[in-house]
Amino acid sequence: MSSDAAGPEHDPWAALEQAAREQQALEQAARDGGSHSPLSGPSGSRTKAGKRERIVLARRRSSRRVVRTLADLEDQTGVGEVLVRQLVQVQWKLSIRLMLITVLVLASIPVTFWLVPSLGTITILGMRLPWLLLGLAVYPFFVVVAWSYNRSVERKEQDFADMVEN
Amino acid sequence: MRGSPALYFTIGAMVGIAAVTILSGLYGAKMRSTSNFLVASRTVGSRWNAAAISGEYLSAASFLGIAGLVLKGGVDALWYPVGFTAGYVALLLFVAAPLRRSGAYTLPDFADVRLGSVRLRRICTAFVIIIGWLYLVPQLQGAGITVRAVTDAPEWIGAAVVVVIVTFNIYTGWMRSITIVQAFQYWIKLTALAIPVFVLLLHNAGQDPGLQNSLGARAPPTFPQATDVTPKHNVVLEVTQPVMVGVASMRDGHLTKQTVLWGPGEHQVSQGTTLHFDAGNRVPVVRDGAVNNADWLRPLGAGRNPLLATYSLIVALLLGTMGLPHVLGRYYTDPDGMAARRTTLLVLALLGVFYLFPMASGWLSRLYVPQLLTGGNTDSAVLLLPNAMLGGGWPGLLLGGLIAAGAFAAFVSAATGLVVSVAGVLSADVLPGRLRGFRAATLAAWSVPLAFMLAVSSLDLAQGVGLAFAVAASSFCPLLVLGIWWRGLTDVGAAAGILVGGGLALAAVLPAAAGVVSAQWQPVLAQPALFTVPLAFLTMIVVSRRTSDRVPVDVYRILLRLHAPDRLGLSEDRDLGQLGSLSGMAALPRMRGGRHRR
Repeated sequence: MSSDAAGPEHDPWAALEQAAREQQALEQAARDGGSHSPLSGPSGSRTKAGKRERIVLARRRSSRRVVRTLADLEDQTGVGEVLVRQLVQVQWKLSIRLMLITVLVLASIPVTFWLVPSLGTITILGMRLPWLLLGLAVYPFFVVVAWSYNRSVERKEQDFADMVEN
Repeated sequence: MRGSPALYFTIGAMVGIAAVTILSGLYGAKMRSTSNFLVASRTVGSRWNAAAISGEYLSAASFLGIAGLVLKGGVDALWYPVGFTAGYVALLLFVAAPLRRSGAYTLPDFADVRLGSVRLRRICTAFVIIIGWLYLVPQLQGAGITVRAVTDAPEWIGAAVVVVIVTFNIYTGWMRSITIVQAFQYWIKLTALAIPVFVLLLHNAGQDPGLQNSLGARAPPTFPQATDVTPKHNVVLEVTQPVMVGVASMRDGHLTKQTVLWGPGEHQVSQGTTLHFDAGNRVPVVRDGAVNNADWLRPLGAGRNPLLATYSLIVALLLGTMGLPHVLGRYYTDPDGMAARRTTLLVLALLGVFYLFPMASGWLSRLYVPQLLTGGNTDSAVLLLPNAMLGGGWPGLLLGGLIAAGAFAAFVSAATGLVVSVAGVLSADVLPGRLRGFRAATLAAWSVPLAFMLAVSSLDLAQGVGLAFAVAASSFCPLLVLGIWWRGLTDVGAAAGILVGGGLALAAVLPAAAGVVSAQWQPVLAQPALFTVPLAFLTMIVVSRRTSDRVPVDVYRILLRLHAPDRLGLSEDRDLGQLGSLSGMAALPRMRGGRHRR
């Protein structure tokens, strides 16, 4: 990780060129070999050296600076594993929490009306409560859930990216 | 809305919509002509793509089906639009961004990227085709209903029109489902429904308040005027208050007419019988509908075992959206995972706005076209509403024509997306050959749903679509959720889960789709997701645990790619295809057919 600190502005271009060369070589090999199937399973093409260049070739707007860091990370399998576990766990917790809220809200509606049928006849603003809930109120609720998810997950990803870059 | 003026108005509105669609397609093509599809796709913002996803998603079930179900089932039917929308919440929370970062374009691609198994890819391909077919049947059915409502022509003509238009589109590429065209489709559908419903709501506000209050009555709706009803199928009608019926039927070659008093209970009416009701009579309602208005107005008022059916429906719709082939492909247009999330947020808002109008028209239908409850053809409620409320004059014809044309836009755009998806996997993974293969595949993609639609069409549109959701939720939802979030998933486990969950869901759904289920099992069979989804998850987890030696060795690398923030640049996709790398081409099978949907 520390090796990256030296010159993040220049290194990516070297990496890019090297990556292009390697990609060419890989394609050449594929053409020569003929049997280089993309479907050859987990032990096939994906685990070979080809992986890293593709990242560089993706030419994403802000990706260049961190490519070396991540490449280093991916090489150190132990660190990578811990990193992934942590990343997936943090995001899973966020998703499952919001999903539980959504499911609980939705699932409580039929059973509530089943247990307390009189609730179904309450009229608010000229509309029956169940119509108001299912016809109008749920949609803003969905948007709020989605909006709060996007905000939190964006922040969490920012933290993670900062951590990786440092 | 019968007779020739209605037909002219409808055709005029359809030509207008087709012109707008073709123009938007040309505009879109012009926008992309200077650059390759990769760069063009990056200029497409979240807003455009969100409208495009919504445009492709709002099918016959949303445009016609929901209003019909509301007319019949009341507030319980609102779970359909709620579920159709909630599915995007689940999609957002668990699938959208990681799927986009995986670079997979279709579900078989995802299975390939994540687990690298050819056999699993084939199983996924089979289920993409099955789900696409199940989803296409209601589109064709809806087209038939629309044509019948406007012209009285037999239903197969409407289906044939949609097949011809969509096939023509796909062959010529005129109205390719590129993003901009589908985005326009959303606004067309919204306009074609929102304007008429606004006008009708205003009209309704000026009517006798007694009519409004009749919705709370402990009695069925009444016929607004003397009405003849000819049920399309054999129907069982429920009556709660005695009603005088004139029955005309063909028996042994000659017409017999008689007037009878129907008491409370069930009455069988066979196909071809015409029933006459005088104005003010109570409307007999097809079985499983809410008979009394008071039951219609309150939750869980209709059908048997409504609680179980409601929960099963929620599960199917909530988890099924993420497995729909024509939805997932759309996300590929977003440049990265964050954009996919923003797109989904906007989709939720757009769907929420749209679904206000089917609800409103379902509400109005109960007041103004209750005779559909007797005929069993509730799906045509939206189409017949303007004429019933505004009379036979030009305002009714104009609004009716607008709705019919919008409905056709819904069938055409949804069917195009589905046929392209099904034909794409057929030509890439099943049939040999290049573009010719794709053309043959298009015909193959049509054949089964067309045959099915002609053979059986007794199911309501929204319910028919619900079956496709149930199969998708029981097969692809576990694959996506476990594949994205659980490192222990194996190819054998995934295949077992898809086969058990999806297979059982399909086995349960097919008799319901064919209309031959015994009444006792109906809630479970017609909506099996409550049981098959957990079963699919369980099978996948247990079998994966048993075959843990087959976990891909680079599973952490893949999971990192799916979950790493976009700015780290770890995701990997179409650039590979552009470079001509082998694995890139495999990840984009549809490009080989030249039919990528950009």
